[in-house]
Amino acid sequence: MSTNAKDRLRAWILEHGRPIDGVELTDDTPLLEKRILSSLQIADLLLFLEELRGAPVELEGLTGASFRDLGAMSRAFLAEAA
Amino acid sequence: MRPFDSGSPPRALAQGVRGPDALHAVAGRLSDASVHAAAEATPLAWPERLPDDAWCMSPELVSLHGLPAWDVLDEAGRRRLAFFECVNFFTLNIHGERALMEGIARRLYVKDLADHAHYLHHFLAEENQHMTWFGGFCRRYAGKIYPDRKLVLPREHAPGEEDVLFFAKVMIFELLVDTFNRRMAKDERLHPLVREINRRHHEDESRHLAFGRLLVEDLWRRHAPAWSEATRAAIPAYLAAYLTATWKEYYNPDVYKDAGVADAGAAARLAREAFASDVARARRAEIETRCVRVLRDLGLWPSTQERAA
Repeated sequence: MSTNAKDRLRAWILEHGRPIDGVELTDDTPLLEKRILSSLQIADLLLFLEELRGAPVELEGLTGASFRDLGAMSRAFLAEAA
Repeated sequence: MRPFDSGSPPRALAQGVRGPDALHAVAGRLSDASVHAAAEATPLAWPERLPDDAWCMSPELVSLHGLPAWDVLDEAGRRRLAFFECVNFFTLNIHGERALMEGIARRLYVKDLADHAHYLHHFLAEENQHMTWFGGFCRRYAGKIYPDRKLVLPREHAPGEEDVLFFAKVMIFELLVDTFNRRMAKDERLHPLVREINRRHHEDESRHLAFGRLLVEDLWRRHAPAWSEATRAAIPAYLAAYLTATWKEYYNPDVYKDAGVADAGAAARLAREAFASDVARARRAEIETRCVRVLRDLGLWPSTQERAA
């Protein structure tokens, strides 16, 4: 997995999500449960993920589980960049 | 039939009648109007194919209009982009109306809305018909609809809050769509089928908006006083964020890819950059004027908070 892509995703969450201290954001911080990200931000986040991947995301059947935390998002959307 | 003027308060409100009585009176009149409209309806005429040189979206409403990516396109390229923007616009309507139908169906005959069930049945029937127009266009001429880019995550709500948010979001979505519909229904450059779909949708939606506005006001007045200050204060900011999120769907990377404006790797970046541009920001501000005015009149627009960029 591209560390750079994951770092950029982490930076996006810190910039666009509910303000938190950077040290609080680990791979398994529950982003939706802690309301760091809301459902209204998912479409925007998808655009950013597509930009990071350089390819569209398969949207059919997508659920909140893929956005649960930074680790889940990296595995679901950025694994091809490995 | 003359559409209701959904940009102004319905007559019952203007005459000083408010709350459930106004809603009941308006729902009755709207039901009559829906029956009349259904009796007058004729099937849409679907041509075998659309001419290559047909405009399907008013150029000024295309998401990239006025941006460098638009300026470099020749006339054929602009019309091609406008066609896929139309498919996206109709797609957004399909996804929006599907969610609306699910929500309305779930609320049929619940206590708060039982008195208006007669109109909600018309509402549902009309939304279903709209989806056949939008779906018919997209499947016939593009061979697809675009996937839904929204994801709704469950969360806890105060009593009545979910209904207020549901109907307020429906109203925002429909107010935005209706501005596009009204402009495109009048735009003589557009293919007659596109104009007719926009005209018919505007005519039905003007009734839905008249009802929705009163319903949102009624639910808000009925439930909000029992909520915590924090819950009440969060609603306008949430609705402003919902409006922004709704707008973002008008900048669809799949459209730019299909129109040949950007390849798969660059389409998402173009969507984000186009959305953030001053030209597009000014266009959105102009188009959403009526929506913001209605929300402000209802006390559902943030007064001091800045909207999310």
